[in-house]
Amino acid sequence: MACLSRSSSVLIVAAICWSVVGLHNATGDETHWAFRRLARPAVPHSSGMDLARTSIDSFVVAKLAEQGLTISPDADRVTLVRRVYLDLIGLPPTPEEVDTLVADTAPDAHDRLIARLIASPRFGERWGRHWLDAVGYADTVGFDIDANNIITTAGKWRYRDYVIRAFNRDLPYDEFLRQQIAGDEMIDWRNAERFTDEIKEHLIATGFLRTAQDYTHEPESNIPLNMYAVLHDTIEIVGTSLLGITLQCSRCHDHKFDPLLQQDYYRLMACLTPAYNPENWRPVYAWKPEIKDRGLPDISPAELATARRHNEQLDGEIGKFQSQIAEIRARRKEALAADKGAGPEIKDEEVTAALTTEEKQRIDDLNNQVARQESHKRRWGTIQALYDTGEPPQTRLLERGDYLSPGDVVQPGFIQVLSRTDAASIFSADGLPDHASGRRTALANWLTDQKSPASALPARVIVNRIWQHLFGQGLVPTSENFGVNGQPPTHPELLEHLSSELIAHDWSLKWLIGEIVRSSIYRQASSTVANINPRSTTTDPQSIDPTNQLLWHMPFRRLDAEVIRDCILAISGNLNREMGGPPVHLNARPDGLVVIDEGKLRTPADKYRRSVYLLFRRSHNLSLLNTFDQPLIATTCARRSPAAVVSQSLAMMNDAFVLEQAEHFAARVATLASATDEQVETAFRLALSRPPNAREQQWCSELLSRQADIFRREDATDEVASRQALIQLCHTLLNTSEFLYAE
Amino acid sequence: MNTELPNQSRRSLLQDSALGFGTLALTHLLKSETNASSPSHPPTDLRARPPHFPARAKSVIMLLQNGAPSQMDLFDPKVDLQRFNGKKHPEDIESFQPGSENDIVMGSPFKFRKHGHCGMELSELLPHLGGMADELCLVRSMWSENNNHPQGLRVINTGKTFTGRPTLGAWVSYGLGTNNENLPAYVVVRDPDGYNNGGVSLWTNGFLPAIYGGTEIQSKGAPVLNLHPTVKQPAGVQRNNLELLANLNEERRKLYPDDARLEARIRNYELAARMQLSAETLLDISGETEATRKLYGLDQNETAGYGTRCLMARRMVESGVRFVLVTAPIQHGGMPWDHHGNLNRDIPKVCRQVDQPSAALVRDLKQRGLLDETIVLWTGEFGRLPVSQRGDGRDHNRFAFSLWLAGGGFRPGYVHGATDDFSYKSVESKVSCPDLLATLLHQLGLDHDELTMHHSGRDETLTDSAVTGAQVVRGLVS
Repeated sequence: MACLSRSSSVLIVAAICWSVVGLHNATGDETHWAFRRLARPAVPHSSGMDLARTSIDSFVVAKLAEQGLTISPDADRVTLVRRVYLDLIGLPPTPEEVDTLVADTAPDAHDRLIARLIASPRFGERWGRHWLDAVGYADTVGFDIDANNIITTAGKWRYRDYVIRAFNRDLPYDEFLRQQIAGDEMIDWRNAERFTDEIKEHLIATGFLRTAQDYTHEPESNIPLNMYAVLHDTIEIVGTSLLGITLQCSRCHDHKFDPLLQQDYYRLMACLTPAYNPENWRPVYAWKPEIKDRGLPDISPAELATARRHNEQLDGEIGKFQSQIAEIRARRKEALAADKGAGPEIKDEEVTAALTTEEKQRIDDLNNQVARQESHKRRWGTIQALYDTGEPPQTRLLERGDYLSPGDVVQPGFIQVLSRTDAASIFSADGLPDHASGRRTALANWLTDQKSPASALPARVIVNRIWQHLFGQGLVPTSENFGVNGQPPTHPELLEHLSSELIAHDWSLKWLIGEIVRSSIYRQASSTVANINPRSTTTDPQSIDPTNQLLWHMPFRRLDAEVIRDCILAISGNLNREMGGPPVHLNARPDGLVVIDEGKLRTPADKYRRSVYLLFRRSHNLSLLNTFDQPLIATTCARRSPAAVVSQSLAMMNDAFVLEQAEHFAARVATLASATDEQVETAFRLALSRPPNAREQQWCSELLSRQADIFRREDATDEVASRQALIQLCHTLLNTSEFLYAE
Repeated sequence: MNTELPNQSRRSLLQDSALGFGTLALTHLLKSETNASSPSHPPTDLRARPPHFPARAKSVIMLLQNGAPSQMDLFDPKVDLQRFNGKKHPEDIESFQPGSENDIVMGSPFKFRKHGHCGMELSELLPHLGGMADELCLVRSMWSENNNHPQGLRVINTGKTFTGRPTLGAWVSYGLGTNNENLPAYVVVRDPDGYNNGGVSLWTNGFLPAIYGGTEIQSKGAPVLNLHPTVKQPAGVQRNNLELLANLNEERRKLYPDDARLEARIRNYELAARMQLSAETLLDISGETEATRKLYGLDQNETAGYGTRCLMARRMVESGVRFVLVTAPIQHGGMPWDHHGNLNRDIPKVCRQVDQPSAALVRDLKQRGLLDETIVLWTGEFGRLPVSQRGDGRDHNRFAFSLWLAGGGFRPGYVHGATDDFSYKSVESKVSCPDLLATLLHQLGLDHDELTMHHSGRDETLTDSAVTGAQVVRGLVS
């Protein structure tokens, strides 16, 4: 440390990164790195490669070696098992799983663990949430700013489930994008006899293009200003989440820094206007019958017609039963009137009270018939899809981005710098179903076809975000901006290598995630004291690379909000693993806390669903999640910013949910162990996956006895006092940094 | 650019340490970052730091009047408006909603009179503010870029119509930090009945680090969320828990000697405990004298809610909080001043809720010698039209609105600018929202062009003067 001040070490790291970027430029290509075609750099060989398990390691180790550094040793088995669980499925391992896994010393034990977790349905719930952040998904519609006015639309949540399914079945990423951008053009749903699961899946997938804040859900706000706002936001979402570029900057003028033209922006807009057509707009809601909203029945038009006919027939039957009931009542009313003579109108209750036993029996029978017919009615759900709504309109460039200043007509197209000269040729409706302009199919092909110069960018962007989710920072730290003003990659060759490999592995995201988690880099200890390098000024990694840009240790990461809540539920034993369906409703209380709306639960256990199934709003999300930086998403959120604010400490200390779960956790410990030291060990193993060391054991035992003393002084029985003390211990373990971070 | 990479990493590292004060381990790292004026080293904590140049004011209380108060019924009397009542307005009027197509002028049903030595003309609906006229700096020549509420609120609060930009309070906290270690720098006191139009976006940090966003303090129930456990525990229980927690955290921290986040987390638990002891006392208004309570109208139903929030705001700036946002009472779906109809009936109601407490705040600050160093800003997002909407309402108007300021070096007893004969458009000494924001920063000792944050490839500012042309309005300040 003596020789290198903090700032000079910072400059060294900067120099390292720039030198690599410089190397790239040595190829003579002056284009910004992100806009080039994928390179296939050779996997480096250098000293220290004995530590390498995968090609990823070779790239990282080679770079460390240039600075005289090396990677840290593997984390201990328990830490690693916990890390892999938290990263892959977002839940902690049970103590039994830890025991089994630690005992498994076979060379492929780690690989088998990865394979098992990646195959778990919990995997899609964890990784689907990352995707939903990036595309700005919310269950609500409109701006969603009024705490007590929660507006959802039927079936919007099905996109969330689609995403989870896509991750679970490892839908190849290129296909995943194609379905989300043009799923409705890939299948002929308009003429389908029956909506197969495949058809439904393709329609639900286009929910991706429905994530923008759409304020056209009321007659007063169904105005061009808000229609164009949906188009602008959608372009921003596509640009940021798929391409890592700030397309929105070219809405009003050519991009100031990146080679993105205002023309490009409106060419892309023209790909969307056949569906988001300002001249033929479909709002989110129909507020009068003649308006068609964007929701689609999840059965085919033919099925719908049949179902409606069927239901009308039943309605006819029902009507007959109801008129029979009415007749019986009318006769009874007449009889009553005759008895009473002139007077006030006879009330319904009086008629009911006067019915004879036979009449009552008859009415009950008829009501049962009605209920039976009702139960035979066909029901269907809604899909919130995007699809063309008639002839494509003319799309014009908007001067200064203002729809009131339309300029020249633009043709559908893409970003010029990422297009081949013959790009226009991919706009063809040949082979597409009727009523599809094919513009979004063309957009999807431009993004994913390996021959398209654009396809390198989606590969880099998803590789980078996956890296970010596993290491806390992407290879490109600004994962939302790969442009000139974003930060350059710390390991450019590795990014190119992994992006090419992803494509070579048929865009399998499970392959990519598994490959990274298999690497020695990922398996490193996170503790900085574990790096065995002697602490001399030339090879002390802390002084050379204090912010760990070169990955000489595994970063130590705060858990995501959802993972914190889900882990608490797993530890308390309450986690409800049911998948999918409409979101669990929230209630914004007058005191400012947002909690689960217990009045709207389908079943009591719904309260304990995984966090990904809770209502996701633009604001007013569950307070506990909000406190831990669950984002309030206006358009997209490529990366969260984990803070450590005091409100997190207050929430973990005092939040009713945390306290309640601490009680369940303690009760669970009490059923598993009775002696004090066993209880401490059990609580540690449940919460932190490891037994306490001797000092920790002593502190915790002392706490149990001190807290029990206090409660006994408050006249608690021994039993109550011990139980209360154990709750305090369990609650405290949930507050530890170790619980809140992945080590 | 070449320092951006490591700088960014350090920034995100330090961002994680949140309330940086009390975080001893960070102190040496932050030495170079304690001055607000250096854009290449943006601050990441909340410790107080010197302004760019000597400041006239230290703190701000913003009384945000959501919905667009009608300037010609409150602040801007017009002879012609009365004279042409019921006749067609000579101009083609830009309206927002249907109902004003005929452009029929609607005079104000309310009388105006002169107040104070300065002779400021104010509506009969604002008698208490009238009593403070000699302290007010009334701007009659404001204008906005947009006449829709969400966009208008963003313009007055963030300088531009776009979403995702930081609010004034966030920029001020970012620029100056705070003098109160027991509360956040930027505090929001909203109506406990709900959120105004704009919701939490009215105090968003936008692209500034999250610690600069506004923190809600409740004026009803617990002032701070989760300040106390839902179930009361015997004395000593929490202390024992926190002691064990400190031991466990320190034990584990040995593995991460250089990680500032863990240190911050440990300190945050100490701060949380400190807040449990101090925040309530600080925010508890029960100790205020009877005279003060009466001054703010806590003894009357109509004024008690807003009065409590104004009084809490005074207590907070008194104790060093940098920026307090008080939002308007909840009515009309979160927009109390949005009088598209029933103006005659409804605007007096809101005035009765807001007039006395707002005036009381200025008087109380003055009496305590705090007005010099505190800026009080009372503003909506735009104005209303001189023509009638369906006979008894006024539609949105972006061309003219009025607001007032007090304290912090703003000229007292002064009326700035003027509108045309109907109060349709500002014409004389026009002030844009970004101009106003630039002037507010100036009074706090901050140069609006120098207070920057690098974001998405640009050095962003509150006012974006290159685009908005924002300038400090010298005439507003003494």
